[in-house]
Amino acid sequence: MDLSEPSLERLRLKLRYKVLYHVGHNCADVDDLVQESLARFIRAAQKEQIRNTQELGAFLNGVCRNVILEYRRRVKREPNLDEDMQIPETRVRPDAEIFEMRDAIDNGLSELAERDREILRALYLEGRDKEEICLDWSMTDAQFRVVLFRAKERFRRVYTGETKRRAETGA
Amino acid sequence: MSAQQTDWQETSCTMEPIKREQVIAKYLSRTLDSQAVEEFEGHYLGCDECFEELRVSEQLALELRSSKLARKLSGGVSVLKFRAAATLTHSAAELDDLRREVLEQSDSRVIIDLGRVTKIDSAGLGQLMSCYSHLVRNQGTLKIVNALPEVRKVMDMTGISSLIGTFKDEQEALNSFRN
Repeated sequence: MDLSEPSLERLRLKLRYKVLYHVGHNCADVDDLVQESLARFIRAAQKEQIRNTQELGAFLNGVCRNVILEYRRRVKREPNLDEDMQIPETRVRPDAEIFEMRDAIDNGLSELAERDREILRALYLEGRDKEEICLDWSMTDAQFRVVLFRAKERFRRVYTGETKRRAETGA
Repeated sequence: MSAQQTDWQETSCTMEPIKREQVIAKYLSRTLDSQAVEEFEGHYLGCDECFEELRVSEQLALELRSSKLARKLSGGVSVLKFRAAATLTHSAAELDDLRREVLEQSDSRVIIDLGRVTKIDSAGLGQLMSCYSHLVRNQGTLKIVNALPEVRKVMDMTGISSLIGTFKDEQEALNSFRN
C-alpha cells in the first residue's frame, strides 16, 4: 500500500472535502477530524488490518464516518466544548480562493448561453434528473451531454489554468 | 445504486461520464440519499478521477449560484458592477441580483455600473426605481454609470435619468458624492 507523502496529501485533501461536506465550513475542528481519520487509517494499514486493498476508499470512508460520528456525540454530550460551532451549512461553499479567481472564471463562462446556464442550474443546484431536464427543454440525451460537457470543459480550462497561474506567480 | 457501487469499486474508474456527472450533481445539491452518499464518498476517496470531476463540478455549481453583480467599496460608496453581459428585463435573474445587493443590504450610497447591461424594460426600470426609493428612504442615494446608448435612451425617454443621477464613469459618480 502506498503511504508516501504525496499519496497521503492526496488522501488528506479528499478527507477534508468529505469532512467539510458533513460538518460545514463553520466547524473549527475540521483539520483535527481529518488528521484523526488519517491517523487511524495509517495505523490500520501498518497493522495490516485492511483486508481488501481494492476497497481502500470504502475503508477510509468508514474510518472517517466513525470519526465524524464520535465528534458529533462528543459535541452533543459536552456542548461547551465548542460554543462557537454553528449548524453545518447545507450547501457547498467556496474556498476563499474562488473569490479571487472570480473574474477569470466569469470571463470563461460569460459566453455560456442563458439557456445552458438554466439547464446547468437545474442539474447542479436543483438536483433534477437528466430525463426531467431533457423533457422540460425539449432536448435529446445527446444535446444534454453536449451542453453539460461543453460547459464543464470550458470551466475546467479556466479553473485549472487560473490555479496554475496562481501557483506560478505565488498569488 | 448497486450497479454504480460496482462501478465505483473498480480500481480504474469505469463509471460512464454522464452517470458520474448525475451522481455528482445530486451529491452537490444534496439530493442523494444517505446510502448513496456513503457509496459515492467511499468511491471518490479511492478514485482520483472522480474526485477531480467532483471538485470541478463544485466550482461550476458555485459559479452558477453566484450573483452576476460584483460589489466593491470605494470611499464609503458601494459600487455594483455586472461581471458578465446582463439584461434587466422581466424574469431575468439579474433583477433578483439587484434586489439582493441593494434592497436587502444596509448600504445607503450606491453606484450601479450598467456597462454590461445590454437591454432594459419596464421591469428593469421598476427595479432601478425601487432601489432608488429604498436608498432615499434610508437617507442615501443611487447613481448610475456607464449606461450603454440603448439603455440610456430608454432611461431618458422615461425620465428616470433625470431623477436618478447618471454619470459617464465611476470616478465622476464618486466625485459627485464628495461635492
